[in-house]
Amino acid sequence: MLLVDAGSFLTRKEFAREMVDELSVRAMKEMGYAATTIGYSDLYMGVDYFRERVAESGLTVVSANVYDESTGERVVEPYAVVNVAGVKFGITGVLDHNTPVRTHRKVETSGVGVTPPDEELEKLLPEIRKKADYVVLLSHLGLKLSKELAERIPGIDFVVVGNQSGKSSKPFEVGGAVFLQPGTRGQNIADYRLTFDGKGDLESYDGTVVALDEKVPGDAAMALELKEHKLAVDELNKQRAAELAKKRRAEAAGVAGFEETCLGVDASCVRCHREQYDKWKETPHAHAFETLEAKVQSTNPQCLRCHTTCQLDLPLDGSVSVPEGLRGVQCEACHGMGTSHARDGSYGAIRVETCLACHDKENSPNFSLATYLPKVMH
Amino acid sequence: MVNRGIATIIVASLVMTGCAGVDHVKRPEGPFTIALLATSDTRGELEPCG
Repeated sequence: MLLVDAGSFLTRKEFAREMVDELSVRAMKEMGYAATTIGYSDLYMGVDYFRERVAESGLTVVSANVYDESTGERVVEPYAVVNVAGVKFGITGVLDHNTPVRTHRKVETSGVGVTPPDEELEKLLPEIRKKADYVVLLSHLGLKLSKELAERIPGIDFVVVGNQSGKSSKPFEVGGAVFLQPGTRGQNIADYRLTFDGKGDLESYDGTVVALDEKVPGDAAMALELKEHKLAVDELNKQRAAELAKKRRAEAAGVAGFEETCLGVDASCVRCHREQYDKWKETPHAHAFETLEAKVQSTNPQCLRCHTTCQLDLPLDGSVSVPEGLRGVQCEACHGMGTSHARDGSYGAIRVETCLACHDKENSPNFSLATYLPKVMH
Repeated sequence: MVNRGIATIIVASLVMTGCAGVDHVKRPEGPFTIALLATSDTRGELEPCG
C-alpha cells in the first residue's frame, strides 16, 4: 500500500489549533502516510509553526519549490523514495508560485518563498527517476494548473491533485500521468489499485474515490485517540470558560452581545407559547445541545454555533462561553431575537435560508426542507 | 469521523492487497497489486459536530 496526501493538513481554524494539529499529524504518521506536501493552510501560522508540528510527528513532508526566506534552503526535503513490494516510488510535491501565501492576522509573514514548479521539476525529475521506478507528484496547484503542468513536464506517472474542492470518481490521464483527485477536507479518499507484472512493470490500474461518510465504520484505535483528544480539549475549555465567567462577573459591565438580545425559551417564550413549547421540547432542535454533550463537543465553539441559540457569530477562539439558558436550538434561533418580537404578526416568519445557515453541506449533507421541517413543526 | 474513516479504508486496503502494514521490499513472484490511496486538504478536520 502507498498512502499519500497532497497537502494542507494543518488547520486554519482557531479552536484548539495546536491540539488539533498535533493530533492530525500524529494520526497521519500512525496511519502510515508515506508522504504529504506543503499546502497553503500548512503555512497559515508561518513556517516556524509548520516546522514544529511536523518535527513533533516525524511525518514525511516533501516539497520541491518552497524555500525558507531566512536561509534560502528548502523548507523540507524535495522528494522521498518509498519501496512498496519491490517497486520504488519517488514522491515529490509542488505549490503554485503565483498564489500569495495567506497568513493569520497575527503572523506577519509566512517566511517562505515559492519558486516556479516547472523549473524545479525539470531539475529534480531526472535525479528522482534514477532512484525510483515511478514518480508520484503531490500537486497542490488545483486541477487546471496540475493538468497544464503534466502536459508540459514529461516523466510524471501519478498526479495527486490538491487544493481542488471537487473530486473525480474515475481515473483519468493527462500527458501520460494518471490523475487522482480526492477532493478536500478529508471527506473522501482516492482508492486506486495498481496491477504489476512479475517484473514490476505497471500492467493496468483502476480506482475510485470513496466518500468517508457514515457508511465507512470508524476505526476503533483512531476513535479512541479522538475521544481522548476531545476530553482534553473539553477540560481546557471548561477551565477557560470558568475564568471568563469570573472575569465577566467582576467587570459586571453588561458587555453587548447575545445576552442583551436573545432571551431564551425558558426565560421568555414559554410564558405565552406553552403549547408550541411543549411540542418543541419533543423535537431534535430541543436536544441539539445534548447531542454535543454525548460526543464531548459541548465546548467546541464551531459546534456550539449551531447547537445553541443566537450564536452564529460566536467567536471561534473560545473567548465567549454560551449561557445555560441558550442551549439547544430554541425559538429565537429560527424566529429571531425576542427583543425584536413585534406584536403585529410580522415576527417569527421562517425562511429556508435560516435553516441553511446551519444545515449546510458539511454538517447536514442530507438536508431537505420537505423531510426535515415536519420533524421540528410545532 | 474523517480520520477514523481514513484509518478504516487503509486497513481494508492492506487486507485486500495482501500487505501486512509494512513495506515488502522484495517483489512478489508473478503479478501483484499495490493499493495507491490519496487524500488532500484534510485541514485538521477531525469529525463533524454530531
